[in-house]
Amino acid sequence: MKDNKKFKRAIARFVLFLLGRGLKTAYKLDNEVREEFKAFPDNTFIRMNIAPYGPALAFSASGDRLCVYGGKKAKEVKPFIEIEFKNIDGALQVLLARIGIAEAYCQHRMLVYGDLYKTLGIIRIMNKVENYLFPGFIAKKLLVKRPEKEVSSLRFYLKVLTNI
Amino acid sequence: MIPKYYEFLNSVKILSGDKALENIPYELKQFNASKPIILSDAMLQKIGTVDIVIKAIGDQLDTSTVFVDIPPDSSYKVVNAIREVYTQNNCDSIIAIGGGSVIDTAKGVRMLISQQAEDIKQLEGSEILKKGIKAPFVVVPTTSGTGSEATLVAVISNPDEGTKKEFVSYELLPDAAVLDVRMTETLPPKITASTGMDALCHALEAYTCLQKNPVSDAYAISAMRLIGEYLEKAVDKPKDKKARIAMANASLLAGIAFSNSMVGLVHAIGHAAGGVSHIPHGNAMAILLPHVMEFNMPKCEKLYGDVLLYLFGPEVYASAPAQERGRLCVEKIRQMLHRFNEKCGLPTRLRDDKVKEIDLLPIAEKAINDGAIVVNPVGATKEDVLEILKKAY
Ligand SMILES: NC(=O)c1ccc[n+]([C@@H]2O[C@H](COP(=O)([O-])OP(=O)(O)OC[C@H]3O[C@@H](n4cnc5c(N)ncnc54)[C@H](O)[C@@H]3O)[C@@H](O)[C@H]2O)c1
Ligand SMILES: [Fe+2]
Repeated sequence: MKDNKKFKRAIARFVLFLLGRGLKTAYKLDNEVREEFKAFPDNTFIRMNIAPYGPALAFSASGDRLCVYGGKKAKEVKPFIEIEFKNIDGALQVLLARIGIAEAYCQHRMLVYGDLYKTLGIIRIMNKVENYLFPGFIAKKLLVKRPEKEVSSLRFYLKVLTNI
Repeated sequence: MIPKYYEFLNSVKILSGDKALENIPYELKQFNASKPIILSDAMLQKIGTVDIVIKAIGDQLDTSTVFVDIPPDSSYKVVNAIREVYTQNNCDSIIAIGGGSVIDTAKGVRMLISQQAEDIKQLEGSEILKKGIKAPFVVVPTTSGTGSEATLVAVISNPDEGTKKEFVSYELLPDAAVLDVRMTETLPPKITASTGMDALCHALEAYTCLQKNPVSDAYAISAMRLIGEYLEKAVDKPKDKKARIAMANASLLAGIAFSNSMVGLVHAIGHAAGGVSHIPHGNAMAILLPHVMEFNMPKCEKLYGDVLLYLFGPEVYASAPAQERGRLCVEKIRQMLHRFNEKCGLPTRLRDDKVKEIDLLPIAEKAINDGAIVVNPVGATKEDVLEILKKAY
C-alpha cells in the first residue's frame, strides 16, 4: 500500500516538473500569462503542494524570468499563496487530466492559503498552460471555456522540451 | 445528475417559528455559555429589534455587552475592533441580530476568537481553519436574503483595497439560526424585495452552477418554491406572518444550498459591484439576474425550465412547450422585477442605483477574480462581464 502511494508521488513529481516547464514557457511566450503574474508582488512565491508528504512546485516571477523550484527547495520557500491538495489521489485527478481545476475546486480537492481573489489569476494561468500542454479533446473536457492560444502548441512543446 | 464526487455539510441547528427567540438562553447554556456579546446595527437598535431579543432572553443570560456600531458591509477594521470588546468584557459567546452585514461581521469575530488571531488578514484563505477554541454562536437574521445564518462564507471588505473578500470555512457555520417573525416584519417593502431577490439568486445559482449535487438541489428547490409563493406577499403585506416566516425559511434553505454548491456569475459581478460602487447586495442581484440568465442560457436552458415550475407553478410551466420554458422563466422573472419596481422602487438598471458608467470596467476587472466565477456553467471573460454590465446599466 505504502509503496503504491510512493509510486503515485513519483508520477506527481514528474507531472509537476512538466508543469513547471510549461509555466516557464508560458511566461516567456504568452503575454496574457505574463500580465497575470503582475498581480503578485515581485519575488513572492506561489506554491502548489500535495499534503502530507509533497511533492510541491513553487514559482516566482521576476522581470523576464520565471523562477521555478521543485523538490526540497520548493518546500522551503514561504509562499504568498499556497494551493494545497488534501492528498495525493485528489492531486493526481488533476495532474493526470481526469478533471479540470474548476471541477477539482467543486470537489473540495484543495485548500487555499492566502488571498482568494489573487488565486483566480493562478487558475487562469493554469488553464492557459493546460490548454497548451494537453491535446484539444482533453483540454475541451477540462476547461469550462478554452482560452486563446498566442502561439501554437507545437512551438510551445518544443520550448518545454528544450527549456531554452 | 449525480456528480462524480461531492461534499455536503450543514451543522446549524434551526429554530423556526413561534417563540423561537425565547429558546436562545437554552441553546447557549447547552454550550455552558452565559455572557454573550450582542452584535447588531444602529437601525435595529433604534426600531427596537434588539430590545425584543434582549427581553426574550430575560435574566437567563448576562446581556450587558451590546455593540451596535456596525456599518453596512462588514469590514476588517470593525471585526478587529469588536474582538477587543469581546475580550475586554470577558464574553464567552456571540449573538448576532441583523442582516448579512451584521452576521458576516459576527462571523469574522467568531473566526478571530476561535483561531486566536488578532487581525483577520491572517486568516484569508479557503478551508484552512482548524477546529479552534469554541465560541458558541447564535444568529438571528432580520432580513430574509443572505442566508448567512447557514453558510460557510463570510463576505468582509478590506477598505484599504476596496475589495470584498470571501472567507470560506466550515468553522464559520453558526451553532444555531433563530427564525422569528418579530425580527423581519419591520423590514420595509423595498428591502424585503431586494433581500428576497438575493435569496432567489442563491437558490437559482446553487441549482444551476457546476457544484450542484442532489442534496443541495433539494434545499434549492424548497427555497425556490417558498420564494415563488411568498416573496410578493411579503412585499405587499409586511405584517403577513405566514409570508414572513416562509421567506425566513426560504432564505435559510437557499443559504444551505449555496453553502454546499456555491453561487455563480450573478454573485461574482454583484460582489464586485458592491466593492466598487457600494450598491446594496440585493439590488445588484435583482438587476443582474436576468442578464446573467441570458448569458448562461446555452448551458442552462433545461434547468431554467425546471426553475419556471418551482417559482411560478405547474400551470405556467405546463402552458409552455418544453423548449420555451427556460426563456419564459427569464421573462417571468423580469415581469416580477418590474412589479417590484412599481410597488416599492426596486431598481431595474444599475444606473438607477449607485453604479456610475465609469465603474463598469473596474467592476468587470474585479468580477473575474471572484471565486464564484469558477463554478459558473458558462466561462466568462472580462469582456463577457463588461457586455453583461453594459446591458444591465
Ligand atoms: N455570508 C454570506 O453567505 C452572504 C451571502 C449574501 C450576502 N452577504 C453579504 O450580506 C450583506 C448584505 O446583507 P443584507 O442584504 O441582509 O443587508 P444589510 O444587513 O446590509 O441590511 C440592510 C439594511 O436593512 C436594515 N435592516 C435589517 N433588518 C431590518 C429589519 N428587520 N427592519 C428594518 N430594517 C432592517 C439594516 O439596518 C440595513 O440598513 C452584504 O455585505 C453581502 O455581501 C453574505
Ligand atoms: Fe448573495
